[in-house]
Amino acid sequence: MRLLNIAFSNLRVRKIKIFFLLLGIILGVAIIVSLTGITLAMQEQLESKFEDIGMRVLVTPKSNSLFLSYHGISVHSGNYARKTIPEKIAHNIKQFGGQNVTAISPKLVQNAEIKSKKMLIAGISREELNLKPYWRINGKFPNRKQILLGASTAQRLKLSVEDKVPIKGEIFTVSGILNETGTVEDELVFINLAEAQRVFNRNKQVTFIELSVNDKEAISALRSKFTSVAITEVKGENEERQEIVNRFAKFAVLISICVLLIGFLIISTTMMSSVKERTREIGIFRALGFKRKHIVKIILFEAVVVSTVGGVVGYIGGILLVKLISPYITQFEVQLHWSPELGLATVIMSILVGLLASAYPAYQAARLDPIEAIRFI
Amino acid sequence: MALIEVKNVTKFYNSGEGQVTALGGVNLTVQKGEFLALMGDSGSGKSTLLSVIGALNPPTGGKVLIDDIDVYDLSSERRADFRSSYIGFVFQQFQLIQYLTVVENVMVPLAILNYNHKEQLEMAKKVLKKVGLENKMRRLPNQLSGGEQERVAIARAIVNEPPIILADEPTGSLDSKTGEGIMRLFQSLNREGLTIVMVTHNRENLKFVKRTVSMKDGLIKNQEN
Ligand SMILES: Nc1ncnc2c1ncn2[C@@H]1O[C@H](COP(=O)(O)OP(=O)(O)OP(=O)(O)O)[C@@H](O)[C@H]1O
Ligand SMILES: [Mg+2]
Repeated sequence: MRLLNIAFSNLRVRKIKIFFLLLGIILGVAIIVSLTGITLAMQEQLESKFEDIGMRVLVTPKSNSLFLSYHGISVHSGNYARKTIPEKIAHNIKQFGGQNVTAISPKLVQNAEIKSKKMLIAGISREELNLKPYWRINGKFPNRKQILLGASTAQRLKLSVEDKVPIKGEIFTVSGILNETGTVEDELVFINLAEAQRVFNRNKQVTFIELSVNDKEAISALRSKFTSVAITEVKGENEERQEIVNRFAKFAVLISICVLLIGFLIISTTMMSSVKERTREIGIFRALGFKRKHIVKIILFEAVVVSTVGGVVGYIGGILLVKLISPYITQFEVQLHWSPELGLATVIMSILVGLLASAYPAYQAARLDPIEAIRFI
Repeated sequence: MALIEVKNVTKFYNSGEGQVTALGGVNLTVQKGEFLALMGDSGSGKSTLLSVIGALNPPTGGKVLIDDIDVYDLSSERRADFRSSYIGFVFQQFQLIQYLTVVENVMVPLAILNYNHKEQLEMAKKVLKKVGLENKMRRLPNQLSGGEQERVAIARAIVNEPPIILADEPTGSLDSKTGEGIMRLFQSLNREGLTIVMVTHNRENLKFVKRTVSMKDGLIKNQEN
């Protein structure tokens, strides 16, 4: 018989109360674990996918710079199609920029109807793949008479790889479908740049040039050199995603703090009412020679037992919860693994909150006047 | 040297209608090996005196010396230690822990001492045998009769081998035959050397004790020797 046995025995008889307390702790822990897990997975994914891409720069026709809303492609505007710049500028920029230009991809963006739906067609070269290391193509990069479809486009047009479809009177074959990227790229139809220039009759012309540079100085150098075009620095989707992740992380922290606070209060009130119910019992223990510290130990043992169980089960539940909801978080392929670090941190946090929340009730219990508690009759 | 010396002890309570004098200057000496009965009307201060002797209830004035230790000179935590080694309480309502089995209840006072489980179990079994409950060890208190619960409470009080047993109306809620059995048990414990102070209303019990002290209005009325 140890103090721990007394704590365990008491927990055993108060099954229902403890069950609800546990349920509360498990729920809270699961929410915190899933939020933290998602945030960590997002950050990890960001880091792996967007290493060293550099700063994103757009080169556009002078008057067009205003409507370019999302890395160069405004879906709802019409006049991008008319204005173009010579493809040769891309070559010149690359030569001028040298080492500072890490990737450069000229694009021709035009409208065309596919299956009676107005679609945005982007002519791209293989250079695009250097700019978009996060692209995953199911199939191949488009060659002559081939198209690559954004994820949403493929669904909307009900097209899959090897399907054939007429565009501007010519038959094109779907060479590949792009994995969901969470950007406007999901809505596009990609075609080989040379093909686009031929089909839309824009020989050696492009709508804009997207490039990445590894030096901010290089941008101003380019600006003063190439005065006939507009050169703007844009947020690459890595920064944009970083922002999403940061915002989510803040949200996660906020919710977690709220949950911790609520958990703290639930444990606190449950422990306090438990102490109240056990007034007489505590008086008996004191009469039998238990010190205040022994009473504190019994109460805190119980808190540790409950919050350990709650932490472990909550962690498992949290990870399962993420696995359950991750298919609905489209912009990120969140893959949460069973991480022992996160598990350990979770259980430690749970125990800490349990101990802190029970500190005052334990103090109250220790302070009970044993004679008041028993009241000899 | 007396085992228990109560010197001019007063205890005042503040209640709604002002100050209540529970003990109005009590002097009492109990020798080692005595079996003392405390009698008196309801409200005369018997339970208060017992709890003051038991190092549970600091008096307003006066001194309590047990084995020459000034009990209320000790810090509250040291006093808990003192209770653990000197005092065994038997309460009227048994005051067993309802969620612990009989043997576990008896082991409670040992939980804070340096005995391993085997030693604890042996000590508990020994006293349970003494009170005649060795074959009901695994029951819960609510599966026992009142007399049996009282025996568990006695076993718990003596398991730690304290020199003093303080009992507050141990037979108060038992029928006379069961009560007599309990008194015989106390008598045999006293014969083994335990000093017992017992509050009782029942004159029948007096034939088992060595000395009786009566209280009235917080004072000791007579001290027949
Ligand atoms: N905690 C308390 N607060 C206020 N008054 C108290 C308290 N405890 C005892 N008293 C008062 O002190 C007096 C003595 O009480 P005590 O319990 O010692 O009497 P008793 O002799 O044991 O009575 P009984 O035979 O009914 O058990 C009573 O008047 C009682 O009301
Ligand atoms: Mg009383």
